[in-house]
Parts: sequence; structure tokens; C-alpha cells
Amino acid sequence: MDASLTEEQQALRDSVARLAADLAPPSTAQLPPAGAGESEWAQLAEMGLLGMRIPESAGGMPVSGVEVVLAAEELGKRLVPLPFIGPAIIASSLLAAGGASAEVLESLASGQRRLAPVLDPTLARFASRGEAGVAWEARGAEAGLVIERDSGRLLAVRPRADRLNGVDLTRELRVVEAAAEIIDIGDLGGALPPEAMERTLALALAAICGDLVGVMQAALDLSVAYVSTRVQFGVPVGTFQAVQHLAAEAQVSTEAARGLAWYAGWAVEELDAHAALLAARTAKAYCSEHAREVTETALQLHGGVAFTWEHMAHVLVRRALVGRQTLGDEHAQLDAIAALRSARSYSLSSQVGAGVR
Amino acid sequence: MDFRDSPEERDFRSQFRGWLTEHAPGEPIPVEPEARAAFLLAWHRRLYAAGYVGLSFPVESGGRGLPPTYEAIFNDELGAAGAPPGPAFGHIANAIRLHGSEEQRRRHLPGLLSSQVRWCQGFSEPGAGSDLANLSTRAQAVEMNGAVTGYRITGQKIWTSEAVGADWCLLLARSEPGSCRHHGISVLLVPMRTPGIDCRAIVTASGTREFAEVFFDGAEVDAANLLGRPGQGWAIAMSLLGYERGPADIGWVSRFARTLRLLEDQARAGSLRTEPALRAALAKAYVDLRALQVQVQRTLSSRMDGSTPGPEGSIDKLLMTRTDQSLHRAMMDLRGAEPLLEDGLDLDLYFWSRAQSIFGGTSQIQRDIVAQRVLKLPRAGK
Repeated sequence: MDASLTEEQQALRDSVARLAADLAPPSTAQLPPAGAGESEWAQLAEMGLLGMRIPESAGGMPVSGVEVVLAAEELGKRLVPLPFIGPAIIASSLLAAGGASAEVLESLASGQRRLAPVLDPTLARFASRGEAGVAWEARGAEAGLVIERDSGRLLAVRPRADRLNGVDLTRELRVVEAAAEIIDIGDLGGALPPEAMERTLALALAAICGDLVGVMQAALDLSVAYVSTRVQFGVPVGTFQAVQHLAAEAQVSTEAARGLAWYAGWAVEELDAHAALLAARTAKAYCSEHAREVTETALQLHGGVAFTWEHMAHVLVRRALVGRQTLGDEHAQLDAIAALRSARSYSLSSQVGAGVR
Repeated sequence: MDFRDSPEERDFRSQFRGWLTEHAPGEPIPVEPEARAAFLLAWHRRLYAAGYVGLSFPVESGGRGLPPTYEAIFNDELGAAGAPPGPAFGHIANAIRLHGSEEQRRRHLPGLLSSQVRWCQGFSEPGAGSDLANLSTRAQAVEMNGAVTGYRITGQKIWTSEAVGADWCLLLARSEPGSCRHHGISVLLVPMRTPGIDCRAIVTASGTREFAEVFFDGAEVDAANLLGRPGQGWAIAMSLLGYERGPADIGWVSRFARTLRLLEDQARAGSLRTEPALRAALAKAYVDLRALQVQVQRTLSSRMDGSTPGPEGSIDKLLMTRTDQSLHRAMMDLRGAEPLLEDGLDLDLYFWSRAQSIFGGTSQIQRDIVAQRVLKLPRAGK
């Protein structure tokens, strides 16, 4: 067992971090971003981030869930306002699993085409054809992706043109009407095998966890920098124990969340689908709870300035709140975990390296 | 990154699991203090005899020289089997290994690892709890013809775990007269049966007697019992805190896993309360335990290169405390009135969970360390 990153994983992390620093919104004045961000999107494609879940034969550069989580973490940390997890991870994984044509997959990997997964209005689960939904991370997307309940096939639908005025300034959401027009963008494949569906859900949860960990780290870094220089009573407020202890607790939560997110990313391929999903739900329960807590701590540590539009602190909270809700917050995950763990037939024999079985 | 066991780790895990099936005590740990101590001692000797103690300890010091991750597997399997924890003397053994003379290592490590010789650690004092540098126990040099031949110890230690019945004590005392704070402190290896030492058990809030007060009234030890150099005591103590604080090195994680496993079994059997909030609390205890287990795996992995634990150990201790307290609150709630009607093990575990944020450095001290030494926040007055 070795829970540390390999050299390749560390290198990927570093290069995504550099790209994310370039793509970070310089101030709140640029948020929400205008347009589809074509040139920035091309940079994600160039680094191979759009083909992370697409087979090599269809122009992708497939990597494991760990790399996906690492990339999501670095992009989240810089609040990059581009749709990565929705189109590049969730939509691509669903289409690859469903057996979409090489032409469709190639267009996703190259960045020529963006598809946003459609969630139901609670954001807690994937939407089905015929119900209203929300195209999630729809910036620049030409279509939303829904699952047809009876056939289990994927369909491309047209979302409404205008973006929702959602709280997350970095993530575009668009309404998908129940009777949204189906659009033909090529062969999207057949029914999704249940196991592939489970693994894709696990990957989606792990990726969102990565994003939340990035947001937590950003909140912590911003706060540490601020309290180290903000002077009150003649000293930096960061010298006060009450302030230090809030920061220390945030550090504990962030590190623990990171460990679970990485483990969930690793589990996507390495454990059986049930165990992978349990690992993902475990991470999502933890990251959801603590991303809110840590970004709230950032508000507290910044004092009044955090509540001005100009300051980035509220942007972090906004991204955390939406990430937390997406595919189920900690309440939803704990409920699911309780059901899984209390099932008499449930066996965790494949849960590697864990004392709890 | 690979959380899966390597082939060698898998073999070790399966061997140990098989061994536990045959050798783990079936009966619960006795409550009565002497029976409890004897029970655990016998268990630790059995673990040692089978080669399961000092896994990541260097071979030349009597260990097996395996990578640190084997400690996690050991604790995993103990927890999963519901077996009693292994010995928790990692920090004392490391003190002697890292700072002892050749002679001291040869003399003390074998008995320590095999649990043939029992050790305690004399750090805390009535006036030096969180503020350990305020300790006032004196070790006055005894000189003959200008050479130091021994030390005469006067003072009091408190909260000394397993001191009653211990053969030796790793003692922190002020050896330089008039010194203050962390200067002038030395570490002495003190035989507990030295005349002038009096040991009195402390009865804890839950009625157990693992701890003691130890009184030193001019107890004299030979100069050869000094560990390291005179005045090096604080540096030695600090180098050990990472081992003491990191849950990686001690058996807590396996204890929590054992408790959670029992609770989940009882929940499945329908013998616990079933309100939705409590179901969620049990699931949350599972999530918190997994967070701790993965954190421990990451910490152990970062030490594969042989590096010693640093201030990051305080993150692990704080996380361990969160897990301990959320798990045992959930346990008390899930069991309802049962643990209230018969004073027993549940209340003991609950009180231990509350003490977790106090012993081994309070949560407040750990937060200071994380803020100042990990996050590098400015210190007051600097």
C-alpha cells in the first residue's frame, strides 16, 4: 500500500496547477464569465484534460480516477469558470460507457463539442428524458445529455439558451424543459450497463469531491494570507489564538477531505463497483459537510470584507454550496451509506486495506 | 498511489488474520485493574512471540524492519477481528533507539519489545500538563571527585500510564539547577523499584486505574541511566511527540474500528435505536473513521523514506479526536438507556473519548501547533 502520489501524478498535478493559475478569474468583475471561453477551453483540450475518460482509439488520453480528482482539485482551487467535470468527466464517461461512436467521442476529446449532463431539479441525481432538469456546467455546451428511462440510452436535448441566475458564479446552469427538443448529434450508443452507471456515478462524485477540496484549500490559503497581514489592536489578527484555532480546524478538515477524495478516485477502477460507490459516497459526505464549514470559516476569518462583492471569499462559498448539493449533499450520502452498511447481504470483502468490513 | 496491498503485504495480512483466528482472546478485556493489566501483558507477549511487535522497527533494534504501512495492516486486522489493541510503547522504544547508547539499546530494547519488561513514561506533572516545559521534578547530579556518578530525583509525576506494575520509567527531569523552561532538562531511565519512588494509582472518572501519580523522594540512579546528553531532554521529548501523537503508531484506530464493527452488527441485528438521525450518526461515524484510516495510510506512506513524523502529526491527532468523539457519542445515543442503567465499559469508552482531546497534548495545543508550525501563522509577540 502506498497512499502517496506517483511522480507522474505529481507532474500532472503541477501542470494542471499552472494552467489553472492562468485561467483563474482575476477578480469578481469578470464573473460570471462572458461567452463560451473558446480559447481557454482549447487550452484544456491541449493538455488532454477533455480526453481523460475517452479511449485512446477515439482520440482520448485515458487516465485513472486519481488523475481526474487531482485535475478537478487544481481547477477548483483557482475557481476556473470552465465546465470540466460536467462535460469532460461525466458526459464523456457516460458516452464512452454507452458505446457512442468514435466520431462523437473524438469531438468531445478535441473540445469541438461540449455536452452537459442534465440533473433533476434537486441536483441530487441524473435526470431522465421527459422530466424537467438542469444542464449542469453548461457553459458553451451545444446540448444536454439525458437518460431515456425505458431504453437506458443517452439522448442529447436542447437546453434553454439563457443561463440560470444561479449562485455559483463560476458554473453555468441552464434549464432543460420536460419537452426539450431532442437533437441529433450523431450515434450516442446504446443502453448503459448498470455497473458502468455505478462506476460513472462514483467517478462523478469523486471528481466533485476533488473540486470541493480545491475550494477548501483556496479558502484556507486566502484566509491564512489575510490574517497574517491584517492588523488590529496593533498586531496581525493571525497572532490571536481564537483565529489560529479556526484556521487549524480548517486545515484538519481539508487534509482529511483530500485523503477521502483521492481514495475515492483510486477506488473507481480498483474496487468492485459497489465498493467504489461506497468510497465515493463516503468522500462526498465528508467533502460536502466540510467544504461548507471551511468556506464559512474563510468568511469569518476575513471579517466584513468577505461580504463585499469585490472579494473572492463569497465566490468560494458559492462554488462550495453548489458542489455540495450536486449528486447529493452529506445528508443524502449518509442516508445512502446507512442503507448500504445496514444491508445484511452487504459484503465489503473487497474493501482493500480497511479495518472496517 | 495504490491503496491495495502489495503481494508481500497481502501475505502478511492473510498470515496475521489467520493467526488472529486462532490466537485472539475470545473473552472481553477484564475491567478489574490487575486482571486487565495481566490480560493485556499476556496478549502483548503472545503477539511478540509470534513476531507481530515492532513491525516497522529496524532489525538491528529488534524489530522486523518492515515498511511503516505494515503497522496500518496490523491495526486494521486487530480492529476487524475485534481483538485487543497491540502494545503502545512506540515512543519509548523510539526514544531509546534514536537517543540511547549502544549499551542502552542492547540492554533495554529486547525486554521492551517483548513486553517482558514493562515501561511507563514520566512526563506530565501537577504543574506541567499542557505546559510541559514548566516541569519542576529535579535530577540533581551526584558528584564524586568532580565526576557525575549519578542523579538524585525529587518531584512528582502525574497521569503516568501503567506506572503501577511498571519496571522502568522514561523520566523527564530538570538536571540543571536554576534552569527554566525547556533548558536544562534531561531524560533518565529510572528503575521503578529504586528506593525513594512511591507510586499511587489514580481512580479515573469511570473507575479504572490505568494511571498513577509517581512520587520521587531523593531516588538515586546511576549516571549511566542518562539518555542522550545532559540538557538534551527537551529535544528528545519533542522528537518523540510525533510518534506519540500520530495515531499511525498506536492502536487507537483499531479500537475505533472494533467499536464501529460491533455497533453495525448490533444495528443489523436490530438491538439499537433506529431513529433516522441516529442511523445517520452511525453512518457519520463510519465516514469519520474512514477519513482517519486514510489519513493514517497517507501519513505512513509519507514515512516510507524513513523520515520521522513532524508537526503534521497534530493534524492526525485532531482528526483522531474528532473520530473518537463522534463515534462514542453515537454509540451512547444508539444504545439509549442501556449504558446508563449499568455502569460499565460503554461509559469508560465515552470518558476515554472525552479525554482524547486532553491527553497526549490537548486539542488546543494541537491547534496551536498546526496554526504556527504547519500554517506558519505569526506568533504573538514576534
